[in-house]
Amino acid sequence: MKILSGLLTKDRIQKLTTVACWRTGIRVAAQPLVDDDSITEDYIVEMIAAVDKFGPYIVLIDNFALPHAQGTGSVKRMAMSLLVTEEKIDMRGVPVTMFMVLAPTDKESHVQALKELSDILEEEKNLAIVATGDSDKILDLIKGKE
Amino acid sequence: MKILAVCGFGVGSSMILKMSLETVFKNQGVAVEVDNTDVTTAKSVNCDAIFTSAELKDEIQSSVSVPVYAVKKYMDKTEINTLVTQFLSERRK
Repeated sequence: MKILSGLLTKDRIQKLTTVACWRTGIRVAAQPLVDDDSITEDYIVEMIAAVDKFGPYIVLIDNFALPHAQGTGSVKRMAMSLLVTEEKIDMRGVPVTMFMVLAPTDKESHVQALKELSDILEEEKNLAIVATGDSDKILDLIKGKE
Repeated sequence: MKILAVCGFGVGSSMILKMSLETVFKNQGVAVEVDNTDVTTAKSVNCDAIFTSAELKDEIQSSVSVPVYAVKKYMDKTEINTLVTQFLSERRK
């Protein structure tokens, strides 16, 4: 459990009461990665366009979405970020409170991070910890300390 | 047996779906190879079944002869287990 905690750092986790819509959710969730120069604004547009084109299948489990795109050119450095909202945000008919942005640089490098994420979210109690948006608890969880 | 997990790009969601499928098939005691890929590639790869989203199912099914299953939530192992059970029973017929 090391890769994920290297990508999803404290300054990349945000919590808000609500956002205007799922598009804003993705935009806000990804903003720390624009600020720290991991991605360009283009990548945000690509992630939103992917949901418009392919639907809300990035909602991997109840209330948890993994916005991402191919990232060719618009991702400078592999990274992840998270926005948790208290209110449920409608993403084309599916409710979302957790926006976990994935910015991959290729098709393979992020496999281990996703494996860790998948293993963590397999347990409902862990999903509940992420849903609190408490960055310290989330960091403990992804570091394997809970 | 070869199974494909498919999403729009073949980088993120399909990789998660691949992991979920591997776990479910393993729990069912069935040996499979699961690959993840994008929708375009999926149409030209030999396999025994394809798992993807509802939005992509029809597009893929129109180009392939193997069964295509629509998964709503790629991490929902209960849902995926139901679909895998359905696939395995249809395959036995």
